[in-house]
Amino acid sequence: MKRRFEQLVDQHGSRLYQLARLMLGRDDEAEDVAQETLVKLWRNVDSLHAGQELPWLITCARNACLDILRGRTRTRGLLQLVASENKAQGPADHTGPGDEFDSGERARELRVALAGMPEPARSLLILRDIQELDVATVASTLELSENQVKVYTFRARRQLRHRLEEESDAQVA
Amino acid sequence: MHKSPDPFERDLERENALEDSRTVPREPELAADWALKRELVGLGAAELPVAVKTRLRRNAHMEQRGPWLMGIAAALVVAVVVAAVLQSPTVQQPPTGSQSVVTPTARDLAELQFAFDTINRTGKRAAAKAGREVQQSLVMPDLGLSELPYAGYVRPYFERPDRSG
Repeated sequence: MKRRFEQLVDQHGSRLYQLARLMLGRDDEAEDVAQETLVKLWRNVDSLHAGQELPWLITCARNACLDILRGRTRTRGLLQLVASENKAQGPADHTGPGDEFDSGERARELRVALAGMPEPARSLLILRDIQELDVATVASTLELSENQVKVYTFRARRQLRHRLEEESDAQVA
Repeated sequence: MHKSPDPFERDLERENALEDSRTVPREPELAADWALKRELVGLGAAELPVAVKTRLRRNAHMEQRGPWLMGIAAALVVAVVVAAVLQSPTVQQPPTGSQSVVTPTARDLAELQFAFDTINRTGKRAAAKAGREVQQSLVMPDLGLSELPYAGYVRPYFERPDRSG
């Protein structure tokens, strides 16, 4: 049991951490999500059949991220109020999603735009385009048909591209 | 007349074309999608932090030990309960109707009476002897008897060695 668990952590731990980072944009929260997910894996590793682990792990990690994001949405009203007050006092020290692991302006733009995408478009882009998971695994994780995964990913990517273009145009203007 | 394809089918075809294409597609919109798809690969890749791995290993170790500790604790409780049950005094069952009642004979009664008399006599003797010996060491407290109306009558009673009456 311990051996299998360690193998799964080595195999998928980084993928879960990356998923959480991209969804949440914060390293500390991503660490918590990855750890929480892998602790759940330890408790359930015996009941998981071979091949089931990755969809199960992604589902757990994604649900944990969505819970955190829902919590953020609840407090957004208050934060916006505080932000508007700060704005009146001077330029805000804005740290958006992805700032903690910035490795280039374009990468940062992509991460910020991605973090602003609605679900399940964001998850589809992370799982299909960034992590290059196969269609079947993503379909199983998000409870979609394989064709739905393909079409929704296509549309999500195009939506992301339009957002980036709009952002770029706004900066030029 | 050419029928326009269903949007779902059309996007499915485009996605399949993007997946299969190793070179930039000719259609500009699709080419931009293709470029973005390649840009996204591996974005924000990171190793699971060592601190998380360490915490996981510790957590797994603790959880693995948990059942053993619970087992030891349960065994200890069982041992204590068994010991308590084995050491408890055996309860004398009252005689039931099916058992015969023993009627003492005259000889039994005489022996019982002799035993009581012996206990009584020996007890009295022991009490008198103990009283004598203790009295020598006792200091009589001042009870304030002189202030009583009939102190002369009461004092001899308290000062008598044998106050049994």
